[in-house]
Amino acid sequence: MSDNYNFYYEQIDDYLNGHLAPEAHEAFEKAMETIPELKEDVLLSKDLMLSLDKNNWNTGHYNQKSPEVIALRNQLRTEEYTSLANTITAVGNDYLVKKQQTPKKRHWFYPSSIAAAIVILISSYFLLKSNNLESQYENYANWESLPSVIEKGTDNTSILLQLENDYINGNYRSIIKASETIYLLNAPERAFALQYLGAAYFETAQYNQAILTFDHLTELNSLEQSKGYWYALLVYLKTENKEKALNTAKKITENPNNYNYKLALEIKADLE
Amino acid sequence: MHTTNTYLEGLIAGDRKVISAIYNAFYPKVKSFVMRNKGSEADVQDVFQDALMYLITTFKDNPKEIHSFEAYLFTICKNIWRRSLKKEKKQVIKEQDPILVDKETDLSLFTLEQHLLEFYQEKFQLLSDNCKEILGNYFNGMSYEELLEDLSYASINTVRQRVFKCKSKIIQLIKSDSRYKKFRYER
Repeated sequence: MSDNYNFYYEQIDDYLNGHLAPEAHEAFEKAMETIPELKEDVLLSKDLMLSLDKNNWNTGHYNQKSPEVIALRNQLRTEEYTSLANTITAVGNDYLVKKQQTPKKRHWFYPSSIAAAIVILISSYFLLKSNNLESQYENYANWESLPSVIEKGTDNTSILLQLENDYINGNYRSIIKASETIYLLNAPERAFALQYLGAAYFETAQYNQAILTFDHLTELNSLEQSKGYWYALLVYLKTENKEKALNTAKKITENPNNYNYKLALEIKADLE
Repeated sequence: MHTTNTYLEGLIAGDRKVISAIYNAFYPKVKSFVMRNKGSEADVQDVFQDALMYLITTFKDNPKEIHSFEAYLFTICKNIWRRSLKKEKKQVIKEQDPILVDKETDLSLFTLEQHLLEFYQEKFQLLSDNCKEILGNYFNGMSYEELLEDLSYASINTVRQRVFKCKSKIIQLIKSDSRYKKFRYER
């Protein structure tokens, strides 16, 4: 490879990151016109940076007119593939209809099968208790309801926005890494941030840390405070800790203004 | 009891029982992810169906091994949704009306983009642990200064050299693979 190529090759990242001075930038672009290998490496570097960035998606490599895209699209339009797509849609629709018809809360007893249910309950008492907690968790988990600042138009440098984006992108480690900063925030911001921190601990199966975080949330003077009890309850359901789940549900039901008060009543009744 | 292979084979054959089992086993997890990330029930259905079609087009004629059907399906769903959010954001920033692309073209674009990503990821995994750590952080937006602080290097210059060497290594790995020709930009 020529010295000229090597000289510019070392500047690829600075070029892509916009760190070259105007004259150097211009010289680099001219060099790309005359050294095809350099141009190829610039495109490949850019492609790599976009593709391996977890917060991004590389939509620049192909376009609708690329021969590979046209070939694949034509394949998807064949009778064989449209028939498969139709089958998937039909099965998906059946699944959703059945799901809607299934009551969310499962009752273990029905008048016509009390005798059978008693036998089952006696023979698998502990197993049922455990499954019940698991299904309670599945029924009530609502991590998608964590508060959002994106909708409120917070500026891009906000730590809260950063936490939310990290959570959306599954960068739980980054959230946990920011814990020291989170504890220095003022109460309203901390109340928001602690929900993401606790959820990040939960997603990484650090359940004790998640509980400590949500406990801290309950101690804050904030409107979000009672959410700490709710998320702790979800953690206890997930980890099948019946005693603590029941105590936490009772705590929520002490005040009708608490977050998810009515749902906590249902859970409490089921657990009792 | 279904395995990765029975799921894939049943899906490719259009076996309704297997497809139904896939919905029962994996749809709730995908729903939870998409809805937690600003999607609607309709979005979940589209993402799930597109992911299943992706699996068919990818594995029908080129069977390759995947470790876990669940993990792979979930990754594909996450990427389909990540891509949609990215496209939406781009339109908002550019104040564009949504570009109308038919479903098959959009799925074809995603499929090829995902194959390219997997090719790069495969090469990335061949790097040393140190290169993976430094380049992983660099590609995810960490500056040289942040890398210096996070990875305790001696100076910015050392960080730059390390990034440069690791990037050159992955570029070399990519270019020496015969499949690179297929993924190369048309010039």
